[in-house]
Amino acid sequence: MGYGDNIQLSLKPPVFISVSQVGTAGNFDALLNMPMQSEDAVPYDSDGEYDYYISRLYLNGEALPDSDKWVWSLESGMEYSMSFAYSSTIPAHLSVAIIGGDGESVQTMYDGTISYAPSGRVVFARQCHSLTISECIIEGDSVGIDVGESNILVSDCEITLRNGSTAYIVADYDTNVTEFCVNEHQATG
Amino acid sequence: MPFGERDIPPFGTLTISRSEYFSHAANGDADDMPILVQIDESMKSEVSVSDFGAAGDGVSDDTQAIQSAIDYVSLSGGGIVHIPVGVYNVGTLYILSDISLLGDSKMNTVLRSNASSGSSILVIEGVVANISRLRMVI
Repeated sequence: MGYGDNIQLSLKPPVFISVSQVGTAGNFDALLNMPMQSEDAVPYDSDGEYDYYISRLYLNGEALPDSDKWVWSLESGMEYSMSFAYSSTIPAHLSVAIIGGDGESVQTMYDGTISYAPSGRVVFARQCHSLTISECIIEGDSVGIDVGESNILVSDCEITLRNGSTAYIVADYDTNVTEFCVNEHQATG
Repeated sequence: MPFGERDIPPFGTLTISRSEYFSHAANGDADDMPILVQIDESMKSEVSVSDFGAAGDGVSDDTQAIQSAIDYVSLSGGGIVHIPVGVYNVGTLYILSDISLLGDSKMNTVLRSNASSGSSILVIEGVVANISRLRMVI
């Protein structure tokens, strides 16, 4: 049973309170809230002492590997968190399901999209066949342009960084960078 | 550009892009259209972020407006997103298809990060893109 199976079971899916990026490595935390359940909710299983349910995350309809989390209580208002990784810059839709003994609930969509937004880079580019940045002023803290697996031309640009960083243009592997008239300097004052 | 500002022969043929045609039709400009409108699929769209509600006043959050302009052009098959002079507070803008992001002034068309985390201003992936005459500040 998977994404989009619009079946109505006794279980009501959790709702998202927030989704936030943690650190800079594409790790996220989803904070969820359990709604009021009906009394006939059937547990997924028991560990011998307590009944539990399964909470599962989906990205664009695909179950996130290893995202399943045991939920011990369906008490209304109970909050819990789920961690997951998503390293692509392409925005994706997040949804969640709760799974009990009689199947998987309808999923709740996260109201918004998630995507990995690397911090500290003014421009972040990957897999661009041809990227031209011309006549621009770029001001940042740690990295001006971070480019990977791309062909990039930077011309007539000024890149200014603060905090002593000199990573004006950072090129990942398999990247061709051509520079014309690029002024790189530290912020003063 | 409104039809009225273009040199249109009264009974001639105007060649425009598909997205431009739909944009004018949606705005109720049909009365200004010449008798024959030829859609040239090779002509790329050109839009201004102002038309999508970007204020550029240094106060408003213009992320959604500018992203909407980018997405619109992307869905039209690519083209130009024009950014007039102003200070635009933005989060992260995603360019995921072929477009040109063109400002009016290297000094005075400013994309300023409003994210406390210092997230990237432009994230570009898997495209042919041209970024020009912009000042981007984290």
